[in-house]
Amino acid sequence: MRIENRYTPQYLKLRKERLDGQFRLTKAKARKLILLNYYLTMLSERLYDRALELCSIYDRFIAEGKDIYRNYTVNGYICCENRDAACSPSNTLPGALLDNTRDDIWHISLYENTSDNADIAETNSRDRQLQLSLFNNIGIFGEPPLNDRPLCRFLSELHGANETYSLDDLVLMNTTDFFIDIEASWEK
Amino acid sequence: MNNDMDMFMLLNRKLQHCFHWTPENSRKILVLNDYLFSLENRLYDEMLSMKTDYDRLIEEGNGSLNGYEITGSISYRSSALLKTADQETSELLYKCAGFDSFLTIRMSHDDLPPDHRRDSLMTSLNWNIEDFDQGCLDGHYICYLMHELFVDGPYSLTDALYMKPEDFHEKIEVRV
Repeated sequence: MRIENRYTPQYLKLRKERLDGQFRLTKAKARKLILLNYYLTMLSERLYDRALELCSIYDRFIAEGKDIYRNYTVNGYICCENRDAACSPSNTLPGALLDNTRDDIWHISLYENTSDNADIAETNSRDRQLQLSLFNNIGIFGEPPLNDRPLCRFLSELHGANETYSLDDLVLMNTTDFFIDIEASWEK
Repeated sequence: MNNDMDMFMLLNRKLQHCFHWTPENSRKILVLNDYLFSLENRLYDEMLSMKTDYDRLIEEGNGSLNGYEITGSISYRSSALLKTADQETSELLYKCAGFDSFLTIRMSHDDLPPDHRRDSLMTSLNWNIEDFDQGCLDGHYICYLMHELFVDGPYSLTDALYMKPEDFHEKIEVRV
């Protein structure tokens, strides 16, 4: 017998809109969201540092004459994977939330710049990649007490552009639900 | 249209492309075969060279690279339309070929088994079987990529005559 999956993208979008509309910010929830933002900002910084470290390894190889490393791209991702959700099929709510969250909600991309090109240097800069100097606080994050600190880009995208996790879902998330993934690639 | 229908249409297209093993066509097929075999080996050598570099860095104490995985693959993307396929058919051919899944070579910090190159490039067999089981190819080694593209895959041997070597691309990805 075929089991219908009611957790369609449209269902999840409407669910998020409904839950976010009813969301009431308590002190405990605010503390949880502030902590989550603080942790994800730190994770973004760590992601950038590790990606930059990989770039410096490739730059050194290139300087040693190893041309196979030329024209690298290093992409870094923050992945959101609740352990319970990862074990859940997509016809359950945790599984559906995970399955319908885009892999590329947000990522950083660093490029080879051994020729010290100013444009690439600007693209590769921490500020440009992490956009920490921009005030990304949208919705409830633009109001007290959540507006005293910039919302990190990843959380801004996870809450804003992504149409799956509601604010209540974010409150239930733990810092251990997030990890970083770095990938270097060459296409010739 | 679902994938099965797409593949059925492309197989039908393949059957309609009546290929003749003339000396000129055989020569072109062999030139492509030899190029692809050298490309497979170059890809493997580059990955092996990267593995050596990463292993050395780990030995020197760079623990953050410990779980690295290197993946290499080859795909075909024509810069100009093939004489044998319009834009829509070209897109369909690319989609149905599934380049991410065939001839994918993997390496990690683990020691490579003794026959890793042979098993990755599938060179324990001469792939001069089925469509390539031709007298005019006797004595030549036909590589696995040719088999994947033109026997198991959606491209026809007539397509092969118009494929340019520079339209085959190698891709290496390293996850750390």
